[in-house]
Amino acid sequence: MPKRLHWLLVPITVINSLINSVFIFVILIFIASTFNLPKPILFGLCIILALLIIALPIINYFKTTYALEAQEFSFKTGVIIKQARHMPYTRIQSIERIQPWYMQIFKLVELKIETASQDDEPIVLKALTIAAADEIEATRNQRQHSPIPGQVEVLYPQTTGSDTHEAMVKQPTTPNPKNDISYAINMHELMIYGLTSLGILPGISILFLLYSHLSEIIPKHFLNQVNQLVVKNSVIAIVALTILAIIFGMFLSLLQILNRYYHQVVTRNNNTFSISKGFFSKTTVHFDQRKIQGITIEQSFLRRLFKLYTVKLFISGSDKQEDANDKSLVLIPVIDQLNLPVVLKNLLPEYEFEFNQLGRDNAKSHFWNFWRIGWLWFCWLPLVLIPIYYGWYIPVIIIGIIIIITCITVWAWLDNTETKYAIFADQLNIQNNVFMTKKIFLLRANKLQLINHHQSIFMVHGNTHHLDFVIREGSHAASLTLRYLEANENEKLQTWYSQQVLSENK
Amino acid sequence: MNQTKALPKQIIPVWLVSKVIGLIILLIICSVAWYVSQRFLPIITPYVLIVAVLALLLDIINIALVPYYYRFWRYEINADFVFIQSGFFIRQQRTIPINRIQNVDLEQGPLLQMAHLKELKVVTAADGFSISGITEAEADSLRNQIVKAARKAREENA
Repeated sequence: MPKRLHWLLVPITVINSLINSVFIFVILIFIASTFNLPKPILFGLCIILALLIIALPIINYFKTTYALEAQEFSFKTGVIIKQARHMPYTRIQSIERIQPWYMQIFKLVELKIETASQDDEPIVLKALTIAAADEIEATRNQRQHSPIPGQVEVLYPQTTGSDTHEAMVKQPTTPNPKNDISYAINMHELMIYGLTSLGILPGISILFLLYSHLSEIIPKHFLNQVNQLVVKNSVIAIVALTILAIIFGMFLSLLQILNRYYHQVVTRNNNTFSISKGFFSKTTVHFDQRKIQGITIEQSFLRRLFKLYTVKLFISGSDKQEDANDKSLVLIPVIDQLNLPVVLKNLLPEYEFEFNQLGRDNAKSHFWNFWRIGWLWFCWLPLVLIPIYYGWYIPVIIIGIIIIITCITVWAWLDNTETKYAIFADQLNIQNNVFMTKKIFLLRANKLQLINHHQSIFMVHGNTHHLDFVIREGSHAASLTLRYLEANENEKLQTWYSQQVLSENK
Repeated sequence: MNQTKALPKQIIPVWLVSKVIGLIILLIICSVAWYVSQRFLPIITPYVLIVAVLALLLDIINIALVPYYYRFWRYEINADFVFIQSGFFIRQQRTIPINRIQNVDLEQGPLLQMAHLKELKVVTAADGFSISGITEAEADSLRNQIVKAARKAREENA
């Protein structure tokens, strides 16, 4: 029995379209006044536009239906170009709930249903009651977990439903977690997370943008006075301005983080994960545990002080993540070091979380290799000559260079000390450092697509290699690298991977 | 990766011819750039010439080194893995399990056809790699291996 979306979609769409069309109305009025169009024509055009804005959502409402069939979800829409889509439940990769603030008032949700295929556009049900959304999700969960004889699921690119079912039967070598395990993030930790986010940089950029615009408005003599004041008290003024900019950036970043991750709750029911979060716009994402290709646990330089970590997931399938700001799916934005292994063990018992075993088999230091390579990022350094041309103080430049040297040294030291790995039965944990952010990757052998040893021409005479572990992220590859591994370490990792693959083939 | 094989020697003339074609195209582009600059903006003609000469010189060196680069391309295909070794400045050794391979594409442009070779493209769920030229017999053998491995593989790979 086909069902319609909620009728409130019509007024919501009309209001949204009217807001979006303000620009068109302004252009119409501008054209009319420029070309002296008669007022009746202008009014006529505005009325036609307004009627279209009102009529289209009404027609669309009556033409859009969905149905929960026995084996598939069907969706029909379109007035001029009619579209009918039939999506088998087994092909549904994730269901995402989006709830902007105005839909929260009416207890409605937008539902985005995605398949694993990168070619399929998701089906978007723009307004549903929460009960209707629950019904769709419950039907999908029920059908996905009950095998249908003869049903063939075509997962991208060439896997069949029988494979998926077998994998489902084969995979839980470790016991499945109990039903409905959930974890909610701590508000205090979230506040620290927001304040230590690199998101302060856009905030500072906004401040500079405002300054550049203000400089056009503010009278020149006043600006000159301020500039002179800054030049006279250069060090104090620069420090004070920097602190102000950082505080402003931190405030903006905090608001952004709170809006994105407010009350984030992760729930697991058998193999189905759901992540709900958001303040103004609430989002809920559902995905299957079997789509997890790897786990990243990361800690930025600042968050080391607070012993806070972020947990992200590599998910296969669609590239369209729920959060455009994060390449990977954020499972837990912030968690304390003490709780991390306990919480993750509960949520993901399939993985090992013994971080103490991370280490190296060869104690040889590669600090100078990392230090030398660090300078490549600063090949733009000759550009510091430009400020000299504009009469900047040489001490400022010297301080800048000292800061860069310090950064490279700290960076190289972290790279050298934090490049580690640990091998478990069918799991490899690797740790590296990316721009002073410590990252621990938890990888299952059966999800590793390939490994790649590489070395530059300058490393050929030594015994060291870099080693990439390639897994799926979305429908593309993510390459995770351990740098400057000694020959014995390379061989050990290569042997482990080969043995794992051979055991899969037995 | 002890039993890696070099690519068939016939690949060297294929690479040479394709690079010479590239050089001719580059020569045409440089000539057009030189003509246009001389006609409309003579002031930049010396710079255009410097860039063109440098580009042509690099390309000629690249062509001259083709027989040397050839040494760094090796591969091995066995029942479980495909190994590909490639690169001169950045030397890479990829280990791709057969059961991760989703597709094997064989391509044969006119130059490869003349040399009776095929370019083998191996596609995993994450990425794709190619072996510039293998013999037609080996291409068929690899296809059979992968079909067998796909039957055996019970990995979800999604």
